[in-house]
Amino acid sequence: MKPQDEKVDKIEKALKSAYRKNDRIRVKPEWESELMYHILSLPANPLRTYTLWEAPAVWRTATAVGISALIMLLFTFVNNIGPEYEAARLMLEDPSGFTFAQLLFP
Amino acid sequence: MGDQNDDEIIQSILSGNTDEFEVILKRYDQYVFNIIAKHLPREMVEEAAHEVFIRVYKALPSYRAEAPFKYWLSKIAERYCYDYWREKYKAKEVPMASLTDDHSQWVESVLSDQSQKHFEKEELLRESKEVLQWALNKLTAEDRMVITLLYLEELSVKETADLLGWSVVNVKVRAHRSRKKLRKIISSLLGQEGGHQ
Repeated sequence: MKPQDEKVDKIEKALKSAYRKNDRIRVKPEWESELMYHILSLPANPLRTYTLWEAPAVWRTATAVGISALIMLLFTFVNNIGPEYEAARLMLEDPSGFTFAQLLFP
Repeated sequence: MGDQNDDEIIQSILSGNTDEFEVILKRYDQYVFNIIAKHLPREMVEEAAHEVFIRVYKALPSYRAEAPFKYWLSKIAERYCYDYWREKYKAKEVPMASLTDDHSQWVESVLSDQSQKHFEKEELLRESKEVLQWALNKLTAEDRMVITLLYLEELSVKETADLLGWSVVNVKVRAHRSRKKLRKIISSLLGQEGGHQ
């Protein structure tokens, strides 16, 4: 072992010994009562329903996708650019072609 | 009330008797203080313990009683400390105190053969803790937690992995690298010590 490694070992050992001599920090009664006051101010039943931001990531994603789809559908209906509108436009432009396409691809 | 086991108390809290959390608090507050005091600066301990118990209270519905409550609680406390250091490093708020002549003298006293037990004396404890903090502050949050749990607290690789929520392989790899980094930091200390001579 190199002399440098020996020195590092000694210091490591000393630091470890210092770490183990951790002096205890006493819990104050005021700290306990303050925390209990905080706890009791939280919603009474911890089994509450989680808000969207507290939900697990998978549910957050699913909710976000669902809400986006709903908004798009609403937008489609409001602005008449949905599949129904598109079908009506095609039929007006080429009624025979549209009917033929409907027969082939119902 | 004092004879009730943890699981009974938790069931009671979950069914609406939130006052009973006080029993859990009184039973384990000193335990949580001791865990936090090992990882965070002393002035942070009360605030951190407060946050840990709030986390515990909020997470009670997810407690499955597969492991003892005490162990589940320690996991939350350890994770809190890990998160604390991660935030600190992200925000670059870790204090990088420089060492003084007192610390160099501490290194000298540790290295001198005739004073092997010298560094354990109370008057040198402050310096040794400051040097330890200085060295740990130079490590990242991940390295710091691995070094603390694995080398300073001497937990097993599996226990460390479980507490940090990492894989065993990840802990082994990280432990090897962290130890190397720590030794390099200590070596730089020797350079400083040499510079003072």
